[in-house]
Amino acid sequence: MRFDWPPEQAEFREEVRQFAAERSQKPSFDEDEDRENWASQESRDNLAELDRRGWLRRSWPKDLGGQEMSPWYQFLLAVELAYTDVHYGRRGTSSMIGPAIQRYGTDAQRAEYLPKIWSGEITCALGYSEPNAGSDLASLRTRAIRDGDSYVINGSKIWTSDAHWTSHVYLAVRTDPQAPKHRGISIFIVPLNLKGITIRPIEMMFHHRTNEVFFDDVVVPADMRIGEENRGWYMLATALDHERVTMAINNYMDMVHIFEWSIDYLRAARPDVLADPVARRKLAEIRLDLSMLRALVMTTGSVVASGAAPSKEASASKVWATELGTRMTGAVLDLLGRAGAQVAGSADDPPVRGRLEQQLWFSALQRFTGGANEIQRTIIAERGLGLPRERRPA
Amino acid sequence: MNLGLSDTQEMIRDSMRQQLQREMSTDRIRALLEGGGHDEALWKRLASDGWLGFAFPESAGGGGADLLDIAVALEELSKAAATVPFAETMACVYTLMRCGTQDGQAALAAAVVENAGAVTPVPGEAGDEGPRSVSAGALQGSARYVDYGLACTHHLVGVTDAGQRQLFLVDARTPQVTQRSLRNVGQTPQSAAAYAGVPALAAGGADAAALLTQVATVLCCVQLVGFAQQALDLTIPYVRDRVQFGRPLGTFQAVQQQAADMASALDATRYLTYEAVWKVEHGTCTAADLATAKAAASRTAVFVTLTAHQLHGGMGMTEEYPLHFFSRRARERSLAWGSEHESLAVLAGSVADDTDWR
Repeated sequence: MRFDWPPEQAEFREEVRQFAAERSQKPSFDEDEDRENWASQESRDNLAELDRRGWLRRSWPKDLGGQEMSPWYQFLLAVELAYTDVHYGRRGTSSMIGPAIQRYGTDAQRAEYLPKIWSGEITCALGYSEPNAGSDLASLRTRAIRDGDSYVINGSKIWTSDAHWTSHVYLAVRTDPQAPKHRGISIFIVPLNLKGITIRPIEMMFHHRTNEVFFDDVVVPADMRIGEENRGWYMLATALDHERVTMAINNYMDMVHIFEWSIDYLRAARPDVLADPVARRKLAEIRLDLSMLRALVMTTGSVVASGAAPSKEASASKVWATELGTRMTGAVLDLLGRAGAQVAGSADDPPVRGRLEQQLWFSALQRFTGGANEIQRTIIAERGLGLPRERRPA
Repeated sequence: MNLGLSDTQEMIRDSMRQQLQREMSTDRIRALLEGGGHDEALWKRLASDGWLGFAFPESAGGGGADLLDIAVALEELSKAAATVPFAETMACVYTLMRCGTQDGQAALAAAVVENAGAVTPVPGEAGDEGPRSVSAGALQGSARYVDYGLACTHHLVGVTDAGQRQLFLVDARTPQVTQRSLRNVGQTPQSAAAYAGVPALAAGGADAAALLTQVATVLCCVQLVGFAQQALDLTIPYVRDRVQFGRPLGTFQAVQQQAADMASALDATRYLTYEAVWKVEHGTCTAADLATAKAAASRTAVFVTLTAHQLHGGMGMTEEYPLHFFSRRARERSLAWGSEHESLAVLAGSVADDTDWR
């Protein structure tokens, strides 16, 4: 057991911190910021620079341009960039889609897609959820029917965040409606400029835009299918495990931001609150919860570093992070009394520029995205603790 | 960063676990508790198997264990509900071997290694009755809540003089030491002690006194992790096997979700606890680190053991079933060496000023 970084990893972290300090998007607690700038040229430049330095693929196999180093390098990279809010392409395209194509793609697909993913030319939205397939993702119904060298896709996806600016969607579709629901799903990487694709915005309550995406007789070449036909669910499960790791790291760092900003805000605007022992005790409880989240995130990282698939650990981090998000923002708003209700745009300056309120709703949402927390707890109980499976309809 | 045990630590865990599996049974623990608690036979076995020399340096014929090694052994003892002053003795040994006086180290080796004695820390924390003083080599004063006070041959007593705390080693069997037995929710041996001019050996200075508190606190966290782990380990097979409404309890979502929360809280607490142990070993543990680990351990051990009771129902509350050892001890240890409230108060003091804690 050791709880420090060996010199070469500590040195790498310092390099990342320096890079991040130069390119940080993280404003101070009283600055405005543009939360939608992941699509910016700057964000693409950052991605290209990270790839040029070889940082995105340190842990990858050598024949795919990687350096076969410890997965901790990529963990440290993700943590430091999340803390400083450095944007680099669409978070997740390189950390989730890249590894899936590496593992399940053909040689031709690797050659075609991976360099473009690293350069930022390809960015992916996630086309999983449907109006009638939310938590029960495996009952998705968007259909892909084989027609010679192509598939024809019909159906619709929902909550497809960022699809209005990404180049592609990583799409789960049904290819065998007769098979049991987990065994008839395939995965495609589909350019969003194909004929027959319509994207419609959905405005969310916390100034966030997401999308509906409709597919009407969209013709997709068969070589855009990733992995075997009808084996998509199993690829998806791995991708979802990785998504939860990414979510946990990003959530943890978001929580740290909000906490640090809240302290800065209180020091500047409400020193009376910060001096109150009861208020400080509340802040101490949050600090403790944040430390427990850090512990879960590090435990998840150590599973990844050992080469195993993170499952119960990633789920635990996700549950803890998202539930802490509402608890923490709620607690700080509560310390402020009526001033806590002021939101961005109010003539009366809202606390932390409205970020507390924004994070409150965002955390409320994150408790059920990426697999609802109820499902995460089932994963922990069944996969992690070996409890018997509940009888569920097939 | 590596959360795996070293080969040595695996060996420590396995050999301690095997020995305890042979010796510990629910009936035996119950009989011991009725008879006052201290498991003298087990202590003698630990002595003859070399565990008491474990934390002495190899140059002094000991095992050269570091604090992580001690923690690994202690977690096994905690999971087995052993009632021996291992945490107490190891805290004193580890501390004095790092920064005690030469006389103190020699006296400790004679007491523990040669004579299979036990030592308990009486550091002089809040809630401890004082004041105590030493003049002409004799200790005067009293102490409350001395863990295993009557079972231990020696007490390592903190005395504050002109703002400086020092540690003194006293032989608790001398007539100048009188002790009253206390009863606590953990059913572990405890006493209140009065020292009436007992000969006291200067064993360590302010640095030793500070280290003793850190070591005893993180070892207390390790005990709490062990109690919580055992409560979870009892619960999982129980809900897997127990059938109600025609199906195992463990298939009910309401049960699964509670089990998941027990496991997650324990995973987080285990990390923070062993991280604090590691930091104490490397001399980098801050007051906030220590308070964080203890608050987490106290909160989690109580939460996990109480949830275990909920999932067990009536069986978990009976004297025949072992869960109550762990819930009682978790409750008692959660209050020792800084309760959740006291630990959070420490964090509250620095929460606005701490940097680089993330």
